[in-house]
Amino acid sequence: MSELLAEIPASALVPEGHYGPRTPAPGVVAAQLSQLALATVAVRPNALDLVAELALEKLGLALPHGPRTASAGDLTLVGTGPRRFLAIGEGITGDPLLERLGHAFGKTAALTDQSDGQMVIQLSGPRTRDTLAKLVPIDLDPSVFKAGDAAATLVALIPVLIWQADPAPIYRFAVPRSFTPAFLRALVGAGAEFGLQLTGTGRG
Amino acid sequence: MLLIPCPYCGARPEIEFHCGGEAHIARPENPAALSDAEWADYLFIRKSPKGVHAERWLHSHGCGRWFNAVRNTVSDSILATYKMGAPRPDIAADTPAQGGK
Repeated sequence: MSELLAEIPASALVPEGHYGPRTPAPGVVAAQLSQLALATVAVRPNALDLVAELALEKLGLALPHGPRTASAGDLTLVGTGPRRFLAIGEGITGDPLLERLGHAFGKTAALTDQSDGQMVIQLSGPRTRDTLAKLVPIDLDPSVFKAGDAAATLVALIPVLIWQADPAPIYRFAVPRSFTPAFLRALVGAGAEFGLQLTGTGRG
Repeated sequence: MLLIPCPYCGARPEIEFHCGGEAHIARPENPAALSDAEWADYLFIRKSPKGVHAERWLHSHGCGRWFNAVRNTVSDSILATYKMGAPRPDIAADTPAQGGK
């Protein structure tokens, strides 16, 4: 069984390349980001105010209230629920991220490394919102979902965390690792009509 | 699509939620003192009103939290949502829907 599980996750991703009609520039650019470390932060009951103080003091981060993101340098916190956050470190691995968060929060929060548990897919390009209109059940119009907003929701019945990283627009998705192939197939199916460039998944 | 206003996340589509049945059913203090009929009433008997109904809902594909909602079972519109532990608000059936349809 363990051998079977070791085979499934990242070995059947959709191969990188161009999908759909050849346009001068792709309508959507999708990239699987690999240089990220992820960790869930679950704050202990009644410790939220203390954690907010520690985040500001030790990490220089204003803890997001509700489904929003906050960034400082290479560290981003995404609010996933009451007292629940996903921490994302750019260009580092899971252990140093956990060490950094543990040093900041001490025993006020439970930390779990998710670097191998979730994959992050980034979407950009002029037809990104047209593609996501077919996939995401929430309204992504810039009047209601702006840069810095986040939402835990469903894409093709797959539980994902979505947040807008840039008003350009650039959206990022944290997808459970074993669901990433299905997520990418839904994404390619939705984005192919606009010309979709997929990178970071190798030969699939 | 029915929009349900989660007290934590805001208005979200119905497919993210799961209904948990009638709200505000307290477990009896001393179950051993109840008759079989009273215990069966606590376990199984639920209201099914035509009109305003308080229900438990779970935002299962979102923040993962339970909350209470007052729903008009005739129009299927959510009239109010409030956090677990809060008392049931006094709401009339003709209140405008919170999430919209």
